[in-house]
Amino acid sequence: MPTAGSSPSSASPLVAGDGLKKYFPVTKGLVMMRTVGWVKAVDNVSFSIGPGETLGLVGESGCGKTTTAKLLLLLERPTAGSILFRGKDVLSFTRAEIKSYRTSVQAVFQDPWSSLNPRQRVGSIIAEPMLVNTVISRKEAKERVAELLRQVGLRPNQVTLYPHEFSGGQRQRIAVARALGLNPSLIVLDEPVSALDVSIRAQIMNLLRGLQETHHLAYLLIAHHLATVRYMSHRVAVMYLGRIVETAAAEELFSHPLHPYTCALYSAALSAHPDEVTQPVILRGEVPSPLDLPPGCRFHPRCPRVGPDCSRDEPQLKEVAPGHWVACGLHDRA
Amino acid sequence: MAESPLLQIEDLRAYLFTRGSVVRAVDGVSFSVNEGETLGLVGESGCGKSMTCLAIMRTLPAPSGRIVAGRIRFQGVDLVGVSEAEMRTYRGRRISMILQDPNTSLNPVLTVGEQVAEPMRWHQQVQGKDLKRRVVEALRRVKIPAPEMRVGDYPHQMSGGMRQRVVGAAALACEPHLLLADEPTTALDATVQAQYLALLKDIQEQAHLAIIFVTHDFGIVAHMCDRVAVMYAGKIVETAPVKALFHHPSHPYTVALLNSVPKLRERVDRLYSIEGEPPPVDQVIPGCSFAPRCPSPEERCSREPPPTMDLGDSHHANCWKLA
Ligand SMILES: Nc1ncnc2c1ncn2[C@@H]1O[C@H](COP(=O)(O)OP(=O)(O)O)[C@@H](O)[C@H]1O
Ligand SMILES: Nc1ncnc2c1ncn2[C@@H]1O[C@H](COP(=O)(O)OP(=O)(O)O)[C@@H](O)[C@H]1O
Ligand SMILES: [Mg+2]
Ligand SMILES: [Mg+2]
Repeated sequence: MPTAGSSPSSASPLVAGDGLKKYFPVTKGLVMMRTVGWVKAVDNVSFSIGPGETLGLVGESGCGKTTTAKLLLLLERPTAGSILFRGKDVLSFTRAEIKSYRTSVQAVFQDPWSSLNPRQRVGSIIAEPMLVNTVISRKEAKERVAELLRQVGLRPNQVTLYPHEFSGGQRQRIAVARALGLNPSLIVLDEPVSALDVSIRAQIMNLLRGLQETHHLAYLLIAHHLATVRYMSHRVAVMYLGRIVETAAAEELFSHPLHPYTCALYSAALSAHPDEVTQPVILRGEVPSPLDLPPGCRFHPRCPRVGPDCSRDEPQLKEVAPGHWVACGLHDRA
Repeated sequence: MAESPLLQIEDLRAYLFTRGSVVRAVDGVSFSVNEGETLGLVGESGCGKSMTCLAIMRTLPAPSGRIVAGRIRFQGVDLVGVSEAEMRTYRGRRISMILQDPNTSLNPVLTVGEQVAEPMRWHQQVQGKDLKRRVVEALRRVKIPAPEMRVGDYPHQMSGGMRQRVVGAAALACEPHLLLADEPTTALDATVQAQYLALLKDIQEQAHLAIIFVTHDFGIVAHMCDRVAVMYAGKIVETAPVKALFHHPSHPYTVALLNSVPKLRERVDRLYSIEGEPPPVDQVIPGCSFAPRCPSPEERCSREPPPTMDLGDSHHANCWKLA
């Protein structure tokens, strides 16, 4: 667990990231491959997710959400920091422990088109992880697949179809069924509904919430759509250029957003009602390159409330109300 | 209010004839747009929003796409009947279109300056110094910082938000009367979208521009549009002034769609979700195409097409339950 007082945490987390960093080298030259800089995709990120809890991770494209997910899924090795699973250090796991971690932590990605093998029938797409990772007979696997299809709202007789015979929403259901097969305790959902239509999004969000209750699943939900995050999450963390700038319980965050970036995001998320139309805060300029981060607070060149110290000191997360953490010079007094 | 609309579409049908099947992408669509007004065209993907725009531009995918019936009256002229040569004097000049992905609209091997210059050179024979000056002006209008320095940039040297603004500069270069904006901000981040929408609103006010804003996002509808047309499976199912649509949605599809959108500014315990999916595109439906998903269909709904009901104050919905 992250040390108390230095970073946000929940009581006894299922999984936690502590001081995670992922720097990608930027190289020049075909032969010499000189490293000319680093993309600080994830830069000192800490978070925790309790059993059965959804942590929503929001931020605009390129802020490091997917890289954070990949670190958790062990698809990328962190440059620094640690991942704790049920209190144990994942990065020093034995091979057997890693295998069991990989069954406990599953993923569903944004694109239901590219995440399923087009040449595999749905039945074997869903059965494969079970056959590879657990001791199970073909017959048992078959029954389990039928049961999973039912749980995600598909018909067991659809097992023989190929992914292209399904709509986008149905393909996302297949991806969820596949992830559920190994009875995971955590599913990383990377933009699970972004590619879907409005009416289908609600179906999938409700499905995910229902499954969370029946299976006591924890989710790391990555999304850029704030209303989706609010509907799905217990707690929310807002990311900007590789850092978490604010985190709190969902209700608290959306009723009292404190970081100027969170406020800008919130105001830019247009309310779907003409009586609630407000003027969004228009941020100046463009998101800086992660290769060339501004000094001090990374948000200061665009911040509507920038102060003289903001370009000097990099603000750290401070707890300003119970469970509500903000990294902003305006709240450094707390 | 008695003035005739800038654009009036009547019973437009645009079909795609592909191997052995007919996709009725636009199947009897009627709506109008007044000068300086923004009409939101909303609906789920595949319902025919883009094909409606392409039909107005007369750039349906060749060779399969054809306008098979209807009228597109623009400034008094029925565009369905004009020659291709005459149509070219409209495109990019009186009517412009912006697509969702700036990368498909911009040519990667031409500088942004050349691309913004093209419609002015073509339509208005602007040349030399004048052209250069107007290109810089057009880029400044869409808030490209230091436009004199950026005219020589290639698209890949700009961020996604800037590229979409360049597309806007090209589309607006000849001061069109009507802009067809086909999901122009779907690929942009929220704060970048906010910048873009504010810019579009400013330009619209200065230029008295009419916009058809194609979107599936009710946040954009609430924020940008004066009136709304809701589309489902190739047909308009409801049109209304924006406030009326949100306060008194009348078609069951509109109601369901509005209820299935998560709310940002309030807590929702359980979202409504519409079961099922839109019908296959090449299927001919005798009655109301929403009947199979409708929460309370009547017997005649699946037999006969619903009538257009006038609900007063230019609010219309096509539904038997309102008859
Ligand atoms: N394999 C990689 N090599 C180099 N840079 C990368 C790599 N993966 C991601 N990045 C960069 O890291 C930053 C964060 O990316 P990502 O985690 O995908 O953001 P998000 O999911 O929030 O959009 C971006 O600037 C991206 O270009
Ligand atoms: N080139 C094409 N050939 C055949 N069918 C097409 C083509 N382009 C689009 N369609 C079909 O036409 C229908 C309407 O498409 P479109 O207008 O692009 O929908 P929207 O913009 O509302 O998402 C869709 O069902 C789509 O599958
Ligand atoms: Mg991502
Ligand atoms: Mg479209």
